[in-house]
Amino acid sequence: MDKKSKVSFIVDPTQKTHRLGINKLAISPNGTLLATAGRDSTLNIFNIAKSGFQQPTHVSHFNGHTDWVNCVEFCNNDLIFSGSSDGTVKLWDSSNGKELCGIKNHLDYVSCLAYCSNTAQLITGGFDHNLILYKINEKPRVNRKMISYQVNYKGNKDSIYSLDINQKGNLIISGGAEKVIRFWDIRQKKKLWKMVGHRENIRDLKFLPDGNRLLSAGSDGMLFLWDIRNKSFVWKKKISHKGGIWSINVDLENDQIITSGKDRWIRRSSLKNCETKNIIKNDFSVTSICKDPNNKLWIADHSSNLKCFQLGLPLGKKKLKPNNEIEIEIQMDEKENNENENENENENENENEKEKEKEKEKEKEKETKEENEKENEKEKKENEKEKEKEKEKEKEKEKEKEKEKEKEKEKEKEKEKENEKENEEKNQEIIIKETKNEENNDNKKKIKIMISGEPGIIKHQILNDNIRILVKKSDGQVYLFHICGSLLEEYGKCDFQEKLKEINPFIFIPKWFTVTTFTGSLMITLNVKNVFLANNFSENIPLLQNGKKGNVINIGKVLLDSLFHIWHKNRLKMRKEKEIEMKREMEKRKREQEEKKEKKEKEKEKENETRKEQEQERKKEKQTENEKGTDENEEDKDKDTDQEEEKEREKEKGKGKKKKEKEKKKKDNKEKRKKEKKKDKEQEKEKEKEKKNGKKKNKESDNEINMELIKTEDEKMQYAKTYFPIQPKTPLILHTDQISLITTSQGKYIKSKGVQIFKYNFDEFEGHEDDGIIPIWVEDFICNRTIPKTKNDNKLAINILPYDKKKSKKTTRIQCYHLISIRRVLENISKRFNLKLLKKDDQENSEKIKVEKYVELICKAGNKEVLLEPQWTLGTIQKFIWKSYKEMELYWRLKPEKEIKKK
Amino acid sequence: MGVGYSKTEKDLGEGFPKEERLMGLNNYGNTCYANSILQSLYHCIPFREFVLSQHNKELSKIEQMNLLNCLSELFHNIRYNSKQIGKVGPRKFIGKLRKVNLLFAGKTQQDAQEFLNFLLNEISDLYLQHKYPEMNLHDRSRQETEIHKIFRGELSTETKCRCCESSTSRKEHFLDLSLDIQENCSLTNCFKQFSIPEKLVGENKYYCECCRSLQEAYKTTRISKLPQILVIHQKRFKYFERIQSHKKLFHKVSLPLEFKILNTTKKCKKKNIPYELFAMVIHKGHAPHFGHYVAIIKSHDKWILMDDERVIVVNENFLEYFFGTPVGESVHNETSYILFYQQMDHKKNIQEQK
Repeated sequence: MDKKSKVSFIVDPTQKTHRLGINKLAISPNGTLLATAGRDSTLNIFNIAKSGFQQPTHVSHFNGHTDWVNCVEFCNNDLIFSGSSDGTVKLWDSSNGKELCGIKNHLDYVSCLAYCSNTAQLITGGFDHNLILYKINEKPRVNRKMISYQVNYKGNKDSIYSLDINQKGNLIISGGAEKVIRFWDIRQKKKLWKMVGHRENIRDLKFLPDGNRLLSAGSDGMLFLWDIRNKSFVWKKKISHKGGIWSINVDLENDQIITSGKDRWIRRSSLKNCETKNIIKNDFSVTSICKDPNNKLWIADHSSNLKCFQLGLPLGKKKLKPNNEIEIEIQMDEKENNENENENENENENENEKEKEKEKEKEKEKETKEENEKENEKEKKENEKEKEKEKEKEKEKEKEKEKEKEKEKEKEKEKEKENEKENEEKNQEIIIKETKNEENNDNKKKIKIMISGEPGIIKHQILNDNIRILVKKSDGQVYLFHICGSLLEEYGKCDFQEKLKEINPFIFIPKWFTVTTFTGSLMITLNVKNVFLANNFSENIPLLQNGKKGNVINIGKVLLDSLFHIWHKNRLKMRKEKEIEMKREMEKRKREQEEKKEKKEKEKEKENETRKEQEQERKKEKQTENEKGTDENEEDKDKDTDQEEEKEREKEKGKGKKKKEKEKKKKDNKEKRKKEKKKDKEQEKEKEKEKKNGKKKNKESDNEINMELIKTEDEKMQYAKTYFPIQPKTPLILHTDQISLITTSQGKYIKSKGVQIFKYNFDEFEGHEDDGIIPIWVEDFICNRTIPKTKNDNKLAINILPYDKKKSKKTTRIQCYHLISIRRVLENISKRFNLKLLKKDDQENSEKIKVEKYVELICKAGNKEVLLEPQWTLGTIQKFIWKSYKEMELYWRLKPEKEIKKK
Repeated sequence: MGVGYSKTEKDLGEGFPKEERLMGLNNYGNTCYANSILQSLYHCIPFREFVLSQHNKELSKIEQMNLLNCLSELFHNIRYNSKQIGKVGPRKFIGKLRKVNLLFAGKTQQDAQEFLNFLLNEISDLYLQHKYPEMNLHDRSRQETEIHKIFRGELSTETKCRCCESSTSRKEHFLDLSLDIQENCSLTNCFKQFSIPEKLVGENKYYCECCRSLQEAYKTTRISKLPQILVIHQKRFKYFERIQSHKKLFHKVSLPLEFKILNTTKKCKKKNIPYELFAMVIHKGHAPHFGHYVAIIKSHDKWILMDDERVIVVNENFLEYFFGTPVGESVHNETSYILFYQQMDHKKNIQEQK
């Protein structure tokens, strides 16, 4: 059967914020919307067009992915592409978060994507080494095939981590673990050349608008500016000495490249001379940065918070703005310099290493120079020119600085008069730098806007009852969740392990589901192999609805029923409607046929009439009589026939209704019969089972505790289902391994390779989700109540031996389910051994003797002897005391009389 | 046979120290796997001295003796034998071995590497049991023994996540180092290959604690502590899923008599001390549990082939015959399998002490 098909659902999903780090940011072409791609498998859209530092408004939320979202890009102001670790690329509406299209062509994580609006081409890259090009159709909303597959570029030799497409839409660049930048020609559909230089994984690539130059950054901390025309780099610089650069943002207007990455620093570098300055240090590694038209820098990092800093103007840049800003800028730069010096002092220890690194770099450079000799010659010339230019510039700058210092002195006096608050706002960058040692406090000051995320789950443990899950979130709070998603307890900040010890019940229930938390939420996965393994008494199962005490309940069945009963209900409804429609159509067709026949007859009549007319006309021509009178007569006849037809239709409708009613009744009867038959069959099955059991009993007659008392609830009461309260809008993730192409009624067009994933909210099933979407085993269970047979009947074999061989030699072997309690075993063996437990005191209440008062069982495990409590189950004892798959050995003895008397 | 011995004595020459013994070992039914290892270990001077130090004359009945006692009695018989060249019967040792481990109970051929590993661990445990009889198992297993001092090295495995670029390292002890071999390579190449970063990608992704998810990663294994005696196990028996059995690789792997280990961690001590070859276990045949094992050992600058009870002095050039078959040549099935290297300065120290 379909082994890979499974059902997952997310407990307590997020709605408006992120629960884990944010992987990627994108800003819409018109600069008003910000998209955030989260590790919690969701994306959010914020409106950032508001003036000043007002909190952006949440526009929409997209939860179509099932794993980390790694990349996001705007198609236009309304539509968004996103790519995820679940292997899918999705196109969705930014205004409402509705999915328009999903494709799965990558065989591994989708790591990056880029879109060229001029040619409407989307390019995606993944860990499967492939680049896939798609054409976006002009009217995606109308056409179902919004994304059409074009070319799969194969030829990368390792995972792709970055790519870009030029504005003309004819050239793709890709980079990744292969450490080279590869070029691909879109028109000729082939690999062109590669550029070597990076020493580690290439994490980001950006074409400059001119299309001739590009920037690359990598895990080696290097930033390269390349020129495609001579296939070599213009300059390169090791910007980060502690970890890689993960994100590049190009701002040509201000001649600056903003970079960020592992070492938390956000830096700006000049495109012309790669001069680099630190701007701010974030409190987490920065995954992505994005600059909006208002010069605000949006920052995504490993926390779930989204931050925004106001960028000042870059070095040496003069704009026709109030003088203050220029001064501030200069001040900042000076301070930055000082800071850099301080940094150097702080990092004296690292200097040697750095020098070594530099040496190494030089060596590497030599190598790369050898690789790119020709280009280097050009470079040298250029560099010389640039140096000359730089010298000139420096002189100019010095002059400027002198002037500006004079101005500063004058304006400092003025500044003092100004409000401090204003200063704080305007000079935030400066303030940040001044108090660099107290980074945390500073950063809070620096942050202009912060969209706070939620804490995500960082630790989880399923309790022994396999129904409750203890969870610790990133803020240290500990919670207890029910498998169905309901929050049972909030414990606040406490020790996870101690809390676990405190609340973990002493019971063994087989594992029947798995839990993952890689999206920061609990994701529970049900698999056909184990979902039906776990039974428990209804009183041990919290939040059970319709459950009766003392019944044994299969938890997996209850959960499946809870998750799919809406689908089942709607499906039955749909089927009925379909049948009715079918019948209607059939009737229609019949009617139409009848009508056709009638029409034909009429036509024939007409033809006959016309012939007659013609004949008459001919006669008339001959006889020249009145023509109008005959015409009128004919019209009257037509009307009469129409009326007759209508009457007939009405009659037929009436009949139809009656028919339908009859059919419904028939159906009901049939269903009843079916049910009865089923019941009969089941009864038969049960009888057969009983027979079998009987046979077994004949063989092992004394060796088995009568299991009739422990029949599962739904075997007894076939249609009285029990449910868990599932949270509204809980997303179900259905993994199926069957289909390659599907068009659903919602207009989703999905082409798949390998395992296909569907995501539905459990309460929004419409009933049409059918072949291939709902795993076969779920359908079998929900619709037909059939469960795959398992070889293991989960029975334990127990040898009951006398504790003291001198007193008794009665032994026996029992086979029973792990849920049987010690109390039941005691009752059983007391009967079997004919123990005379009745004492004088008890004779009055002889009907209700508590066997545990007189007999006890002991488990010898290792060197220890454990006296077994009557409420413990055999499974529990095997799991936690016996700790072996060998047949259990339990020792029985009569309790000493003294103890009995005491009690 | 008598002629053979006298010839060997001649071959040894006059410079060979008279107190050094070269004793063949009787074969008790496919026990050449043990004999070849025992010969190599006897000529590993620090190990020999440790085992001899454990000798207890009072124990003579096999029932009272453990494997370590048996071994030390065997070494004692060799060391203080009246003849310089001859043979002894490791009957007690083999008998005990067959009793204590079911794996070696039958009379079939065994994998010499499995035997070596079992022997070193067993001796180490027995030594600790004798030394710390009161201690509980857990604490006892943490004690360092002479065996560990002689043979134990440490590997450091560093895993770097490609996503968050954070790396974690894990340390692991080894008594012998298993190396993959390629066609026409040298031992130094094998060491290089050993430390080439392994990509953890695709279905084999790494669970990154920092990312709390499966991510791509590089895994690099380096040696963080060099042992005094380095035992190298060449992975000549490769499992092929297609035929569902092990097949022997006859690749030529040239073995340097002296070499330095380069793939060490930065913090590793003594990384500049070269190792020299002093013993080599050779496997003849096509599968680990079939064929024949012999040892070639170096004693006082002489190379001696120990083939069960036979003792033959050989030329140093003769070693090359066992490196394996180069690509394209017709296969001969006698190849090196387990190599014993020692740190050079240590040997000198011992000589100086003497």
